[in-house]
Amino acid sequence: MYRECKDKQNRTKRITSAKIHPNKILNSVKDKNAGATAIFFGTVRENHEIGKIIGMSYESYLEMAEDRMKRIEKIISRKWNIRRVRMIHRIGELSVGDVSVAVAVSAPHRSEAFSACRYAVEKIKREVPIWKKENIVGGKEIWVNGLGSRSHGD
Amino acid sequence: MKRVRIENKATSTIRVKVLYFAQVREAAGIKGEEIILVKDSSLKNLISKIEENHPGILQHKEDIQLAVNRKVAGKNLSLKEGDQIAVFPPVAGG
Repeated sequence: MYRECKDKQNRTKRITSAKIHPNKILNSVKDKNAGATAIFFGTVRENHEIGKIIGMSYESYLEMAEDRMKRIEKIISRKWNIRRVRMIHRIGELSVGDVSVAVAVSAPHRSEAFSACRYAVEKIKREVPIWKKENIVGGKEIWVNGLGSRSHGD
Repeated sequence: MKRVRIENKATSTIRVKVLYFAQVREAAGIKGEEIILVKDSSLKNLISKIEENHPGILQHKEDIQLAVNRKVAGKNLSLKEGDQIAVFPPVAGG
């Protein structure tokens, strides 16, 4: 079980301020009937047109973001024959190289796993109320424009 | 007579909670606030009031997205007592 992502009521947390651990994400979708697991990690990258990035600040409308993530899980479970799904997005202050978002999908076959994972990532970027600001060397801060604009984790 | 007038006043307004996020939060200068509206006000009426209170938000007018009680909502939606309205720019997670 992915214990770090559970709160005191033992519920799964999809938005977290804690570090995302790839192995725990992978373990959380293990299933004996899965022949394929697709996993995506979005990470903070360093390069920016106007300079190097020190890190990113993420914020979220927490309650709505949890609802939206859950909804995406339901949608992909309906659209594809998958076994398990784990989606998590980090908020707060992240450094270059940190994992900001993770999506893992296990399924009987690779085609479903790849498709469902890709679809979920795109949905998260378009529908989950999360915003990020780039912290550039020299002290400048720039909000990343949503929807269709350049963004991290691509 | 006086009492009737007070009762009417008490039921003729609603109180809603407004939350601001990201660029909109910075433009408003606050994370959130309670706003009192005339009963049967729409989301559109609320936005006019918010823009009056925080003119900085106008720079995001074209992009602003709205959610009422965690669900994306259109501007004609009627608001009711206790609604939670979120005002935010296009999402940019990932």
